[in-house]
Amino acid sequence: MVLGEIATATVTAIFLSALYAIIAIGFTLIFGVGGILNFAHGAFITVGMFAGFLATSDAFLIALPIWAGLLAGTAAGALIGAVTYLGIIRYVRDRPVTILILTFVIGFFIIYAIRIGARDVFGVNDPLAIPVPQVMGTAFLNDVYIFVTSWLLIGLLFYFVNYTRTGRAIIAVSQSDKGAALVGIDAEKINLITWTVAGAFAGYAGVLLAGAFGNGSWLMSIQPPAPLILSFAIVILGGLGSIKGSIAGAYIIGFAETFTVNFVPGGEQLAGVSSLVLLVVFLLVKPEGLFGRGAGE
Amino acid sequence: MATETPLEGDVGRRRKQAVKEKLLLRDLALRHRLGILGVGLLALLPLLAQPRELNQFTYVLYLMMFAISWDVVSGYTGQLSFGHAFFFALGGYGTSVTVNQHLVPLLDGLGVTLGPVGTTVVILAGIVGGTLVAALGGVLIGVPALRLEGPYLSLVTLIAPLLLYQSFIIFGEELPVLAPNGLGGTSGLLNEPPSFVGIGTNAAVTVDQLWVDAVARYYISFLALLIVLAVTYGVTRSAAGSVFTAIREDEDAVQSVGLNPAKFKIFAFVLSAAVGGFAAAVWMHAGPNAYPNTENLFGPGRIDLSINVIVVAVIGGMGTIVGSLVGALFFAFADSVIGAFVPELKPLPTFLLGMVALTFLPRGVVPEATRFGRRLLAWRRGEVDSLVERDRTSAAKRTVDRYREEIEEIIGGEGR
Amino acid sequence: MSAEPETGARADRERSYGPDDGILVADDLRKEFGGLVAVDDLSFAVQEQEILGFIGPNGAGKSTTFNCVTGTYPPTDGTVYFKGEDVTGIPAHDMVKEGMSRTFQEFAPLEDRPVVKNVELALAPDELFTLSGMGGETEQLAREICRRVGLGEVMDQTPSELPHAGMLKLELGRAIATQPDVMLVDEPFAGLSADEVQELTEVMESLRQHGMTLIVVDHNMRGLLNLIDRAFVIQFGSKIAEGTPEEITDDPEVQEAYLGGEEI
Repeated sequence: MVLGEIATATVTAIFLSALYAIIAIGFTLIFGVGGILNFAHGAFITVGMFAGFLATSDAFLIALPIWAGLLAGTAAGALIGAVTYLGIIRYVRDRPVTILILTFVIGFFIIYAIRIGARDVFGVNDPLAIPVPQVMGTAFLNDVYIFVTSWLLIGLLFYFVNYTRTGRAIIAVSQSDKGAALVGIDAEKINLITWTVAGAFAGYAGVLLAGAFGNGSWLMSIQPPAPLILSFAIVILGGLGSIKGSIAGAYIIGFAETFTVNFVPGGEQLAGVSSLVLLVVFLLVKPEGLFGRGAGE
Repeated sequence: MATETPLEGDVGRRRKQAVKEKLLLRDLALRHRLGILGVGLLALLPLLAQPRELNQFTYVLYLMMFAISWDVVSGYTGQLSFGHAFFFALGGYGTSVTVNQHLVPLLDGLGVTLGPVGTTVVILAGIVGGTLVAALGGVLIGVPALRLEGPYLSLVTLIAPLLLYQSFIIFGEELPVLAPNGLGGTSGLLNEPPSFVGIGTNAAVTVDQLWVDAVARYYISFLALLIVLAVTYGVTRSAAGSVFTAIREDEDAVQSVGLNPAKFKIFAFVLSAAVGGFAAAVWMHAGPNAYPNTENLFGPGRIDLSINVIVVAVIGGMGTIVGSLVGALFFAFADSVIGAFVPELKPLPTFLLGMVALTFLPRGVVPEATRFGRRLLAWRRGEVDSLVERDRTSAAKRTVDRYREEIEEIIGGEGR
Repeated sequence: MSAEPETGARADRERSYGPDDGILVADDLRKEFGGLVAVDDLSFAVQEQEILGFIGPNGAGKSTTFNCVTGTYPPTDGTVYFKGEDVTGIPAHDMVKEGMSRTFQEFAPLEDRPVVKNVELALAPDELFTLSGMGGETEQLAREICRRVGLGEVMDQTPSELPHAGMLKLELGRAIATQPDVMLVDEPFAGLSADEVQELTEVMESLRQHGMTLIVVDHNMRGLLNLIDRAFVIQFGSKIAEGTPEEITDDPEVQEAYLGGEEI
């Protein structure tokens, strides 16, 4: 019996961790390449969710299937990432504190815009519960879908970063702006690509997250499982800026959370907030994370 | 073996003399005179305003205090807080719970009927309680701040109010011993705390006219602002203030001259928390719309108030105290214009204002104006050279540089 | 006074010291980083009002020794006595309060404020509630200190405008402002002209006349001969010689240590 429970929990944890990994990957990417802790990451995820909602609801002429929603979410995430970089971050790149405060304000600007848009423009009754369908008919199949595509996309990203010209340029920029410039790499372009790809991942994750949890919310970035804080936790646990590390971090948090919820008495209360607890403990004990850094590793 | 230094002589006497001279307001720089003029104008405002406008403006005084609270720790020591509402909520809930769930039931139980004086004393005790609770919160955040650098600390400060918000829900019905009637969940404490002056019966002094009520609330709030200004101005202009800014620059340098940076960091957090908590506590008893609920104390979206105070302080100028006053006026003006034309877009335009200020005016209005004023005065005196003023780097710029170093340390990058 | 200088320049590694052998005493001080021994059971005593040269080739463990002594990090083993008290491992800022301050070879002035304000910070009391600084009296003291170390002309400039020698003087001024009894000066003459060396030598000599004890750390004795009473030479974390400057320069072991081309 106990073995069976453990097996079930392990499967749940593997699925949950895959979702967490894809939530955090964009955050990792931006930090790894530009050294920016993007406090607007949660907002990018929310944008993806909202685009997914718009495509699949009858807000516009017709309600499209969820596949179109995923596409819309990914595209919207990529767009918001690119616009944020081109419109603002580009001008303040050499002012980290300004960036820090700015991404924070931008993030909340975006989600308030979504709240206002949802309520006043698209007539959503409750912006805290924006309906987004899950991808597959059953919860289990949906989990499998998330697991498979998450690994597929992360694998693709890994290939892109390590084995393409652009990817190598990204690594170069992540190591040294100046050095990269010396060998003729346009750091500006690389940063734009990074922000766009990171936004795309966030947007895709937003649709999946909302689907898996039943619905989205304008405040989802800081509501359990709080993807913004989750991303911080994962990235800090896994060592800042390392893709491999973030995946490890996602699995650690996914497993820790599932097992606390299932096996610790009163653990249900911790669903969605265990990352917070782990994060705080980790920040205080070992702020440098479990693994080193390196955007492409 | 006493080493002879220039420190000998009657330092105490010279110090007293110097402080006295300052208090005489002689030889004040123009900007200080302007500052005093501004505060004087604030004091006269009730003569000009209608009760409803006045109430709106009373809230601005609280915004000033909240922004000052942020500036003390983030502007001066460079420890960026993204969740300052944590302290406001502690102060506001602290006084409400102290008064309504502890003092009033206790006195009722003893059969004491409170007159105006009694109620005032109870309210003051509540404010002290709220301030203390917030100060404790300052310790709670200040201690991790000793270990965490830069963005990580900001993250913890962002999480703190979210957790507090959750705990208001978890302990909605009852928080054993501390809050027997609970923290009221998302809708807040329905049982309003008594006012100093009010129209209803729930006040130390009952009045029957709207304008008396508004004017009284304004001046009580104004008094609170003066207290906050006196305390924060005193600390930041004393030696402790230069230690704060030195921490922002370089903690090792502080340590190397025999000063304990940890002590000053925690002090900055506690002072900031106490100021914010005090302001929120007074608000609960004297402010307009003084309901102890999450919407007031965190902002409608749980985090807006924390963002607003940053926007206010950044517009006015970080690390100046005065900047918060000016920034709050700008903010309030923008907010009321927005309220008149596109109220449904709130709070987007003010966030936008903050973004624009951060991008294009990172030093803030007050430092820029001071610099401009200095040049102008120098020009009038005919000092052509002073037009090319030595550029004392701004607080924002210094914090920026320090964070850059920390981030570079974290990621081990170079040349960024 | 300890009899140490009279024992000649030969190393005496077995000798250990007690708390009262000098104003500053290190007894069997040891610091390991991982497996690496940076300071190897080093013992020495500094006498009141002396100017001691602490010499060693680059990488000999000078900085590590003094980081342990001044509390930057605690030693792995051994004891530090200051004014007869055990002060091993107390934090750097407390060490300054005990009366020991130091200058840094890598300057880190506060760039946001003028030179005089940099010195003024060192005069700030380590107290949270204070009227100090409100009346401008600490500023007067800071100005006085600036004049004494030869920064009178430039004290209202920002540190970034200072020449190299000015930075050294600023470091000295900041250290003096903490009212130390013992001052550790790290490579004071690096990159200075002969005139500047002479000027700083005079400043330090006058500090000693006023009762201060100085330890000058350097990788060779060039420029120190007129300043120091006694030299203490280390290599690989251990003492190899101790004695008057003349004794040191004639010591065969010291000459061997510097055979690599550097001049003692």
